[in-house]
Amino acid sequence: MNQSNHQPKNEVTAGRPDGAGLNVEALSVQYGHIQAVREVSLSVQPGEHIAIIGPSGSGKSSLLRSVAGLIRPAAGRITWADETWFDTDGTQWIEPEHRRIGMIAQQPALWPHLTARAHLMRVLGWRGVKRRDRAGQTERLLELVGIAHRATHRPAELSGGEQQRLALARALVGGSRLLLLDEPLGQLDLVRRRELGREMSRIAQEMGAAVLHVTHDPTDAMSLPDRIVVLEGGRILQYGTPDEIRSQPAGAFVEAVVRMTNA
Amino acid sequence: MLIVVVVLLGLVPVGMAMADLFRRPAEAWSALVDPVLWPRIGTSLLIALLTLAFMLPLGLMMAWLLVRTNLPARRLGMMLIPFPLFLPPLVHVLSWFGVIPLSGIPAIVLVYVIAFTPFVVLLSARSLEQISRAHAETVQLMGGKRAVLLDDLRHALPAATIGGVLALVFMLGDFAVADFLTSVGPKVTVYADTIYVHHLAQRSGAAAATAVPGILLCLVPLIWALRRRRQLGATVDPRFERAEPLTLGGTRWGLLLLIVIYLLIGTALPLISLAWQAGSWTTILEQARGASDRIMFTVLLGAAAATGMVLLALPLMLFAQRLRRAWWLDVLIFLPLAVPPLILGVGLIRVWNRPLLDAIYLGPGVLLIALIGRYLAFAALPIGGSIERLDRSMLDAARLAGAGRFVRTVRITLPLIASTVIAAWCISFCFTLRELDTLIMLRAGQRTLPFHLYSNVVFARQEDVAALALILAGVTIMPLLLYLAIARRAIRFL
Repeated sequence: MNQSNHQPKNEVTAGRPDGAGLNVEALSVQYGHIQAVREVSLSVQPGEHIAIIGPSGSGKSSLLRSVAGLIRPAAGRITWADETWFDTDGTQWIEPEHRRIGMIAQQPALWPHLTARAHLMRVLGWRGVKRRDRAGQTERLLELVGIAHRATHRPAELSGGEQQRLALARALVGGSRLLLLDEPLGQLDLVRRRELGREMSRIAQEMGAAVLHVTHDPTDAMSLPDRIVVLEGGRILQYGTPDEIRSQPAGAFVEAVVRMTNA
Repeated sequence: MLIVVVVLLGLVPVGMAMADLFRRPAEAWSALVDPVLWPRIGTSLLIALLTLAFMLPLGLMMAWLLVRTNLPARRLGMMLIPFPLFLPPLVHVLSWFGVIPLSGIPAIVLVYVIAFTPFVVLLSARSLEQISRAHAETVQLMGGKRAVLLDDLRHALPAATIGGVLALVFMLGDFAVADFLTSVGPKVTVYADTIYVHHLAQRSGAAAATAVPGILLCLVPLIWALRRRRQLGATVDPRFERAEPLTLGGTRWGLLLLIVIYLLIGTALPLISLAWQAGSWTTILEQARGASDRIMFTVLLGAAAATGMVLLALPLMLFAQRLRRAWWLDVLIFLPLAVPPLILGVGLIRVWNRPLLDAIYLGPGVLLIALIGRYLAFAALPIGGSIERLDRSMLDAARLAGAGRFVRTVRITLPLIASTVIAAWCISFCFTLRELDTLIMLRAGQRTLPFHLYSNVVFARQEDVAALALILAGVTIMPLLLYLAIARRAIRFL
């Protein structure tokens, strides 16, 4: 499905559910009486970058956190290739620590007692990487994200941008196959946001990870991803490439986003 | 399993002691309708309410000055504030007895105000520290300094009340302070004394019945306070910025003097008074040599009990974090604190005084059980608070990075709360060395320094008693001094 699709109902499936990467089917998330996500279906292939945009309260973060396994959805199915992470029918549930995914939120949530190097070494240990391979992988990744010279520093000694680079390295280390980004650059200034956003996308692609990226920044949304999912009221309102969204914006929110990027 | 341990430590002994209510119903009933009981409860309540009336405003004001203003040396002040609480009550009593021209209820109230005000300061300060810069600035813009003051008060009052409830629990269970302070002049007999008298006369049904009003008087506000505590212990937003201190101007030196006076009265002067009463270093050294076995036994007992409390509180509070409603666990942990210590002592005798359990009952085992059961709450309170305030996103990040529950606890949670765990150990240690009323009931308790001091009060020379009290004070506050010297931060209670 590569056409821009903007029916307000959730017959919309974002992406091709061909089984290679992440497949989300009819996912619903509920907090008490409030339904945050309503029967959303989407797919992301390895190496693909999908942006999720939508007004506040549209269910973007809930969708991301339920894919991560940090909240348990009310219904639906989440799979990665032939691995089922969550299925209401089969009551299947895989804990987040076994999903091999990385996530970065607005706050990098780094561990204050560990140095940059120790962050990555520790995660490699948790991910079962052999001791003799850990140092090499750590150095390579620190080099890749551009903070090799800060390897022995603790988070409090790093700048905001360096903290986010470390969070990116931590999210990708040890073979993460899916990278979930929840407004990761919101705290940075505009110039650094653009620069780091592009770099994050490039590094994730280089490592073959699929990216699901929640953003409020219209420029990020229109420039970084391969495809865009527009959520509103917990449903997929529109899905397509940035060009398709730009040419056929569905609803006031998407129109405003397009206007801002054209300005 | 942990819950079973908590129940065995605290609830089973209490239950065994209270079972005498049903085993000797006639005796229990006669104790409850005894015309002596209710006036004594009235006296204890009057003392407690008078103490609270002085303690709450004083504690609130000191907390506000230390946290929300630019008072000079406020960091140091915050570090020193817990000392009067951690000095054993007997030390306060001995240092002030005969020195101040007060007697009867005013003297008791004075000692309680000095000893328990830190409860209010420490808990209120924790609440005031959570006022964000954005919140304080908004209030100031909307209503000026007066509005800020009222808003700060609104923030601190629930925590101050919890501090007041903890003090109430200690006051209603204590008889030694009133007993000693009114040993000369008109005698004030408090409620807890009645339980002790029944116990000495081997009227266990009457002792249990007498304890019931006290348990209710402590438990009802305690349950309320524990439910409020859960609301106070909200997770701190990682973007949180503490409010800027308010400028006091020229008055700040005068206000600093108030805190200095409190610390002098609460810590320095008692120690100086005891040293003066002891007369010379020779007396202190002689007493230390004479009681060296008891000192060693007491320190080891306190250290073992504090370690046990921390080791038990840590997994319990991690478990509580996973519960949607954990107030019942709080009640379970705090119940032995709400029961008069004498009743806990009676219960421990009932449970452990059996031929097969002599090794525990006659040795330090029963004392460890008594201390851990009674004071577990004081290890659980700071540890639980620090776990609740942990930034959840750090744990989520570890989870997504592949760390299971155990690894997350050991590698992330524990390093992040390590300083609070050490502080909890120090608090627990200090409280175990303050304890006298439960230990007095147990045979093995006679080997402890507080018991030695208590039994010497009547028979020994005044200088020897003062020297012993000074040694006990020194031993009690030593870990706290070490903590402050190394961590260079105030101890946190919540």
